[in-house]
Amino acid sequence: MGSSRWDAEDWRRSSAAIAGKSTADVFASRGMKPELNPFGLALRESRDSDANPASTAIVVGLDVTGSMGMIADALARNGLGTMVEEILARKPVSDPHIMACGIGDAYCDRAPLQVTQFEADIRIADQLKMIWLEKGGGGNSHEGYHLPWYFAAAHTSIDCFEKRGKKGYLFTVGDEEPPEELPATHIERVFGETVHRDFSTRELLTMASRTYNIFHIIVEEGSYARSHMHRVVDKWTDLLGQNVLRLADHTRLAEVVVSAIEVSEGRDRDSVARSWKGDASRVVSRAISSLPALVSGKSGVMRF
Amino acid sequence: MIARHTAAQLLAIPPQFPERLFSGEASTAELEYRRLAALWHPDRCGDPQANAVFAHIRKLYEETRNRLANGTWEAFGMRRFTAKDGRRYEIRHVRRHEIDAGEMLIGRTAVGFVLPASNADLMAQAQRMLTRFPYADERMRGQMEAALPSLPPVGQFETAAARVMVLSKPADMLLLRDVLAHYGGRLDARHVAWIISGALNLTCYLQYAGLVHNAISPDTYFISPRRHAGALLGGWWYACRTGQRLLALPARTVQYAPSDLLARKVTDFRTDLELVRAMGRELLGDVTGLRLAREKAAPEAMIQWLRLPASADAVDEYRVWQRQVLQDSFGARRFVEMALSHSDVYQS
Repeated sequence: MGSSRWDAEDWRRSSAAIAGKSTADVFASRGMKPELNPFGLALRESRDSDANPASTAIVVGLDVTGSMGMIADALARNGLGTMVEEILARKPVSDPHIMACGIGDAYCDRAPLQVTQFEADIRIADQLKMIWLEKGGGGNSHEGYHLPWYFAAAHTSIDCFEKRGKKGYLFTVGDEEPPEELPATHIERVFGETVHRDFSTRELLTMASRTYNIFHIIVEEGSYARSHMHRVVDKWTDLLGQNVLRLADHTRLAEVVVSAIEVSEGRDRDSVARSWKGDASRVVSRAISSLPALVSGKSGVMRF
Repeated sequence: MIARHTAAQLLAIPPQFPERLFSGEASTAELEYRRLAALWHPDRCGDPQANAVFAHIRKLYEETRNRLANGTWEAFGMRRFTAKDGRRYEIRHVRRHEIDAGEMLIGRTAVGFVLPASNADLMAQAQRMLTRFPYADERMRGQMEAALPSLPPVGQFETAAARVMVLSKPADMLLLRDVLAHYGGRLDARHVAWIISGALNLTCYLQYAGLVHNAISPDTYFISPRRHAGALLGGWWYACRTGQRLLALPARTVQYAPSDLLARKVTDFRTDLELVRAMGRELLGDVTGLRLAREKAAPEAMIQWLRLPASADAVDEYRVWQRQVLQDSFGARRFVEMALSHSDVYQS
């Protein structure tokens, strides 16, 4: 998928069509759409094409439990357009192919993971709006943020890495802690495949990191994060180090994603933060403050 | 000889190959340069290309002088070094590889590692790591010694521009990268099996010794096709003791090491175990592992093991590999000949 180009006019029409509608009207699914169900799914592909000759796979996994549906809502109204158009304008990577995921809780939700195709055009907005905002989540302290990691590692095939050795980007977004493990029973239930043992979240991270640069964005407005901020930040930082970004305003998710990609691709962190106007600049500056000021080249010897 | 070169012949010598024109002795090279300059000086030479030839000769001579001054003159499979103390060393080599930290010169019975002065700290780390290897008993020594560098190194010296270490190498040991290239980038799964067995066995030893190599790959691992043996000769400047803060890593390790270890900048066995799996995937033709199943590059059990993350214990990994993965993949063990010699790889 991802064989045509983004058209800003398509996006304006799509965005205008949902202006004034409620979240429930925009996200009208009342159950998981079969086309977004990862159960039994072999591969999602991000392929180079004439329209996108040097594609870059970007996965954005959104927590859709409880009140976190507000993230998907903001993305569908404005954020997605900002994300794609700013990547195309700033060119930190070439030819973005975006896949959106809805993340739930594998312990109790009916749709712990929903996955769109990789798309380069307005179809990603259409598929984003097909995600069921289940608003589940259990009484535990985590959601299935590792499910997109497993899916990306085991069920995506991306030309940016396979043809050019360039990793894709994978962002998860939510307000809770990372889970400790992914039991084999959950893999069977969510993905429909048998594995011989449970996997720790660290192991899944290792697996997904082979082909993706992994980030987690903590939504500070979320109720769980607000009441357990230190714990959430510490848990994620122990796992991902500097690739943990703190998002103070969920409507600025797109700017933070684009900025994190820019810094990872070697642009100066402070210049990137200053490149946004007004409130966005403040939110981005804070979010990417964990990233190194300047990422050195990724070839040769990396020193610590 | 020099006088007989035509303008076209001289201009065809690439600037990076001054040895095709000049000798590797400073005084002789200077004499040769003076003769050529006299012949091709535009004031005295009527050839329409005299200007270009004169400039090109000068460039080649400058490169010659630089290399002789740096102690890194190379000609016809021979790298000549002049150490800071004035001693001269020569490394005969059949293959030269640029590596992350410098370059590697592969000879028949030795392999040389040349790290630029900017990586002097890395060479110092290799020297610290390669002082002695601990063994529980003679049996362990007998099993593992051949899979590790022979100590002490056969040569260590410093030039104005580089730090050099030379390790001995059995003549039948071939760099895995070169073997892989010889076979067009993909090995038969049965050969990958014995190579990974050897590498996993080595990680068990490293775990016992409290060492993490941090750079196991086809660029550092050598194999003997005849004996189905392996030896980890390269990349020791990345090695650390378990739990130590990381010093440096090659790009490949950054790609495949557990992210949480990179985030915490800490040395752990899991890195070597992940690198062995990555090596297995690469030997089968796809380091990502994504295409292996589609292309049926190996039995399913082997592909699944190579794609899944490593556990945290080398002995467990080795046990599962030997008792489950190899058994499920190939059944009873048997020796599969790999008909490949030093000359097949290095004289082709």
